[in-house]
Amino acid sequence: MNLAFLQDFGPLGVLLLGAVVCLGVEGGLYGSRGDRATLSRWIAVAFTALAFLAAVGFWRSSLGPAPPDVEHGSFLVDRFALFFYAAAPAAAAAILLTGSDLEEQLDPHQPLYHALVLVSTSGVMLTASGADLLTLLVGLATVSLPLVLGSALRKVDPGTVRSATRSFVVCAALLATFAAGEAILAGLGHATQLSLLEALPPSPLLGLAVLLVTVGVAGPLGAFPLTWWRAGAAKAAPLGPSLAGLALGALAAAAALLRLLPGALGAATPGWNVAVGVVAALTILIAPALAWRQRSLLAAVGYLFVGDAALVLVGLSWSSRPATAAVLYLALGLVPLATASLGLLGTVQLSGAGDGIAQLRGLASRSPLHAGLLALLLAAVAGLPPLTGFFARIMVVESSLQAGLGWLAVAVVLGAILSAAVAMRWTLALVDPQAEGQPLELPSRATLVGLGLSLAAIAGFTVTLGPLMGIAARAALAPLAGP
Amino acid sequence: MPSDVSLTLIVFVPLIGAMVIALLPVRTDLERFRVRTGALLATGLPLAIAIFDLLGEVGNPAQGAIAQPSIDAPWLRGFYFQLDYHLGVDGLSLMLLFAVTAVFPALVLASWRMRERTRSHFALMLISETSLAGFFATQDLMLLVLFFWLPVFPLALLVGSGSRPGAREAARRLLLTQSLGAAALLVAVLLMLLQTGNTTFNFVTLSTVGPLKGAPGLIVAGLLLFAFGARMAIVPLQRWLLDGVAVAPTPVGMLLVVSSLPVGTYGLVRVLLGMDPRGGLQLVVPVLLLAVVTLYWSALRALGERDLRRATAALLAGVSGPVLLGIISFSETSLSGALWLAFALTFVSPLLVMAIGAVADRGGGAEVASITGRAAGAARLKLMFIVGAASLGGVPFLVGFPGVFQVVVGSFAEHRFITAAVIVGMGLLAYAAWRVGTGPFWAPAAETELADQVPDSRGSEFYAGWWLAAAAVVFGITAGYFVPYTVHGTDLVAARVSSMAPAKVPGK
Repeated sequence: MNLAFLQDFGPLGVLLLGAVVCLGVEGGLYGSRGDRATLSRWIAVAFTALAFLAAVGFWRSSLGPAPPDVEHGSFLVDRFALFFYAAAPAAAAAILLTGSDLEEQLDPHQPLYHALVLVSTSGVMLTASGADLLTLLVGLATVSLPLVLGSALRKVDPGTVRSATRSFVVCAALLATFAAGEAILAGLGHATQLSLLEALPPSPLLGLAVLLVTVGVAGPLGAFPLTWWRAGAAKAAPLGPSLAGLALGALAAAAALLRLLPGALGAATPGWNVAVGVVAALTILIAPALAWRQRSLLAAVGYLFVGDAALVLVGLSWSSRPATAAVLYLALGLVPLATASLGLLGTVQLSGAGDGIAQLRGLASRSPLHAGLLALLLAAVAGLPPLTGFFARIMVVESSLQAGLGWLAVAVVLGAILSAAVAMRWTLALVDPQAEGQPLELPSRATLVGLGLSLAAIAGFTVTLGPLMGIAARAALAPLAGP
Repeated sequence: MPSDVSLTLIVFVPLIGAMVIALLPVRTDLERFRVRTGALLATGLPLAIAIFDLLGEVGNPAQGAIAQPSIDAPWLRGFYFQLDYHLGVDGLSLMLLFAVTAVFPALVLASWRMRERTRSHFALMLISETSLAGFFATQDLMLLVLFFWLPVFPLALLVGSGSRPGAREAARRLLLTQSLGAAALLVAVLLMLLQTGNTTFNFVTLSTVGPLKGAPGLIVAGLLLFAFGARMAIVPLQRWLLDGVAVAPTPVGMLLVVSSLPVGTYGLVRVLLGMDPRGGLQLVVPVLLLAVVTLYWSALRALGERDLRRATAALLAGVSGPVLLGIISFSETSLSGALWLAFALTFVSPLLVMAIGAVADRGGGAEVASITGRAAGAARLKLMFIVGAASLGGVPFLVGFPGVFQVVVGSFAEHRFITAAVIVGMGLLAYAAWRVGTGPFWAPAAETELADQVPDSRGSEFYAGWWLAAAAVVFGITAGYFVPYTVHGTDLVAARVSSMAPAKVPGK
């Protein structure tokens, strides 16, 4: 019996094993009631670290002249997948550490939440490894549904339950949309393998299928017309699952879109990049405009994040290796943004002071550390230079120009200006000298560690732009269709 | 040749200083003193390096034409284009880079008495120094875009966090205008890359490849003119500067004027003429019109303003007129004059803003009526204003003279009537400067009670003013030593433009 698949599925298996152990903690098999949450968190972090190390080892062994792509039916372990194998556990670890203070909202089900995060992370890997339509569907469902379930764990607040129900309905509808598109594609191609879709002749039905799968996958990013969804869900739901959903959802959506659009369809279906570009442009312009109207910092950051995530769609407009690498870099950059938001906004939320513009006015004078970090976060979400988002924007603007979509480049630039205006409005409120209020408490040590790592990544991804893009470029070769 | 690390230190020591300062406590006077001292050190070290390592370059003017590299390392590979961490200086940039390092210690000294938001003020100011120094030191066009965009948010924050009425509005206007300008620059640069088929942003490569032709060249040139024109505060994009200087604290106003004209001038010469000369040639008529309109409009505005801070900003924006004329005349002399004017303004503009701002701050407002004659006894402030205004007017042996002289001489052969109009406009600007100064400094004593006299400049403010005024005098007297180096820097640019339209471009 060939047991090689055990090695190939290693990182994914490690995460699922970690989820099982966390469920054991939830069930009372390990640890006393008082320290279960901490125990399970560190167990989950340890398993994500193991999965990360396994993925890095795998990546290093794949750097030979001929990358040893491993295929198990519809499950493909190539460099593209390995990129996400490393990124997803790192994101999960950051989510678990940065959100540790917020887990009180989920008491006493923190271990269950940790297990759900690990399962959701494995869903990102599954999506990245998807070589056929069904695997992509299963992967996306594995990413989104556990976190929707996680957001329902906090039952003390009726608004939370409503929000969780709404999230579930939206997720199910998106998955159904995706499945419908897939069904049409499978019917047209008489196969579900992505590699066979390239040969499909252009037809109106194919256009409809592409539209459906694109909406189904872009929905988790909060793309138009679902712009309200991500940011709106974050307002009422517990912060941990919401922002974990943002980070992991963005990674999974990027992986699925890259596999499907430039990967499977490539140039076979002319015009899909225009359709994706229209959705991207609308999202990029509407999201910061909605952010401008918000009186809650959480909602404003949520909308700005949606605008950032939509840049993934812009990067798809040019089917090429550099553009794919840029999307990978961008997706990677979204993770620390989400986790830093999680830590900082969670700290504000826990302080009980509120995250309205009135409550945060003058924060710089009473909690300078928080104010400084929030200003840095706002600058990062707005993509101000020299932070990661700035370079991501430059690269997707170049991609859209290369694709001949100049209007999309203009939309990105205008969106960046709108985002900067939102960031400045909140930053000016933070440094208002006349306002008074209560200082915020410092977060716990675990949160500080996660927060520090996230903020270091936000700044460090600029300095390490070259090496990261080198890695992304190696990963980007795999999913492209055609020569 | 600068040593391997000197330019990196000049650019990034202020940023490191900003990060350190952001972490320092500011509860007591002693802690605030530490923040100020830290800022002074973070600006002093780049100046020391510039004096000992960069100014030696000037001794060999022949090198001015060629960028002297400090460091060139690959940064981004694997994308459509390449990015390099490439710093270096040549005749176009060296003097401006030196001016930036020299002016920031004065800005720190001018901010010494600030008691509110000390930490954020100095941290943001140091970030601005990094962006300005980086802008002049880089040899990679995308890095130039980055450094052009970098100070926009810090400057808007500095303006918007002021307590004067209208501060928020001014900050929003600054952010919008400058973000649009930076975005236009980014799009222009990417279009340039797309049209030329280049994959590198290296200055030397982009300055030697075949020029953009036809509509793309014109579009890129238009975007570049908008981007750098907005930074220079040309008409109709000057309100951000006027409002900013009017409502921001005086040291922030000084920083604003330092960040405007020198950056825009260098950008137009380096990027528009250096990399899209054919596009520049297509813009001769509109730029000449802009030059004249900006000069006259600014001078008239300065004459009509009742707010002296705003009037001072209008005066300084008016200098964009002769600078634009020098740039669009394409001769190496006129280009050198434009760059020298930008260099001169780096010292002169903060000096003028400080002199007027000090009177307004201590006199309780910048309205002409409220401070008329109240600085008649402030001899030091008066002297600072005289040096600044005289430099602005092109008085010999002051730093502005070589710039004005070269622009006029270098432009006259090609654009006689426009040059004549600019000379008259400069006269009008000088008259406006005299009128601005007359109010607080020379009004009849009978109108003012002796007890209402504003105190004269002293302490750190005096040292800042002294430093800037001394620079204006020293560089005015020793211009003959430095100008040849700048002229050598403009050789290549003028030659490249000449090769595009030899019939239209005059010789030296």
